[in-house]
Amino acid sequence: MIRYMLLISGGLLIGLVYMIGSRKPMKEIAVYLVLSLLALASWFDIFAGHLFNPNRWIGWAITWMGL
Amino acid sequence: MSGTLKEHISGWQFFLITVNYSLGTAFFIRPASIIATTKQDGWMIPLLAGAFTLAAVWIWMGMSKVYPNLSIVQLAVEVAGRPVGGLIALLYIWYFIQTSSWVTRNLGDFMKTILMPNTPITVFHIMFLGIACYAAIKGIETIARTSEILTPLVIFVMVTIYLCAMKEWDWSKLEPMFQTSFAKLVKDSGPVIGFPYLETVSIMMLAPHVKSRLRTSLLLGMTLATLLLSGIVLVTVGVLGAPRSGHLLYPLYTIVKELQIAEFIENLESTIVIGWTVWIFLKLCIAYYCAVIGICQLFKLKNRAGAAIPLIFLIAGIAITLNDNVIGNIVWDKRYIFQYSCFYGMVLPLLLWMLGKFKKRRRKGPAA
Repeated sequence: MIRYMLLISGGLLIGLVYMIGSRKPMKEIAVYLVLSLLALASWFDIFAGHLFNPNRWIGWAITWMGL
Repeated sequence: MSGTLKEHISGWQFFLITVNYSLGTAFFIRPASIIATTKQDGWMIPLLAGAFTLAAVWIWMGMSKVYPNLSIVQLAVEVAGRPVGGLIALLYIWYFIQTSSWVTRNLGDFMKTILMPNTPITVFHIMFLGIACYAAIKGIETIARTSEILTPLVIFVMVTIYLCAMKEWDWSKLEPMFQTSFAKLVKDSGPVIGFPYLETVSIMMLAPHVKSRLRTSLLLGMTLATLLLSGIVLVTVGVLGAPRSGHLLYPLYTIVKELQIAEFIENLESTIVIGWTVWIFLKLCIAYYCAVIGICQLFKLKNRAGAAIPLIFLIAGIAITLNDNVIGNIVWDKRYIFQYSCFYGMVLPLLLWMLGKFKKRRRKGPAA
């Protein structure tokens, strides 16, 4: 688990360093960073025992609306 | 590589994209659930769902005519303003990401359950997403050309194999026919309308790239997808019978696995696996591209790679999180997919269409 997370983080970090090094626009770096953090959060959630399940939330919302 | 670069695809290419997107995963996954609920009359469900989809296509075309050069994401921001339109655009981006995750998970489930049970599911996900990411960075012209080359081949393989399977056809397996009431048929067609028909709203992201015959290509693509889906349900019932097909996860795979031609050509399942992976790949590329281009258009990014690369890991993560197993996916699909897809495929496009028309009329007002 830790190795897998480190692998993903390492890969995304290399990308970030490359983007900063090649002077990409700030907006692109920010989008890359946000998406990378979301990806890491989703993987952390998987290893932490599935606290976040989008389908369950969507299902709950549809049931709450009475549809 | 620019996110805002103008790319063009022909009407024929858009037609193939429509067929691939509608059938990519549904061709293998849908027959089992259709037959499980509607038995021998299952072949009527895609026809009913296809007819309902005409209403959706009418809304999509109306929406795309308001601002023909804008995609859904751009249209949302244009007609609803930055805060509300931005939220609608974000919802659509989420929908594209979620669709990509569903497609990826369908592939992973199939590979893990049927072909390589000892390989971790994420391996399939990451490998496919890596290629889809590359295709998304290269752009829609590349995806459309790939689709142009691969689709005829896949359809030829599928049709040939299923024609060979017709020797097992038994008319008695289709009996009793026409036993389902119209009300039950309408109720059972709900999940099929949600997936794959309303899900196809995603390809409206590509509408500004289509040079000509957008409406014709979309309608013909949907019609062909409907006929192929209805035909494959009929073949499955005629060959395997409704009770057996309804209990299998992938009845088409079983048909091909049991197929034997001229007593020495057998084990043809690898051919169908290749065909299906090609179809899934094309659908995944399109959904992935829609997600990437949506992000680029919303945040006005010039380079697609910055958005495309982290999406590999995000989609792979969501694909695992979506459902615990195949059964969870089936249960969710049966209960919620229609309502969920209606929101993105009918409600939001109708809202954007109305807002766009209202805004255009208001602009014209003072001049007149």
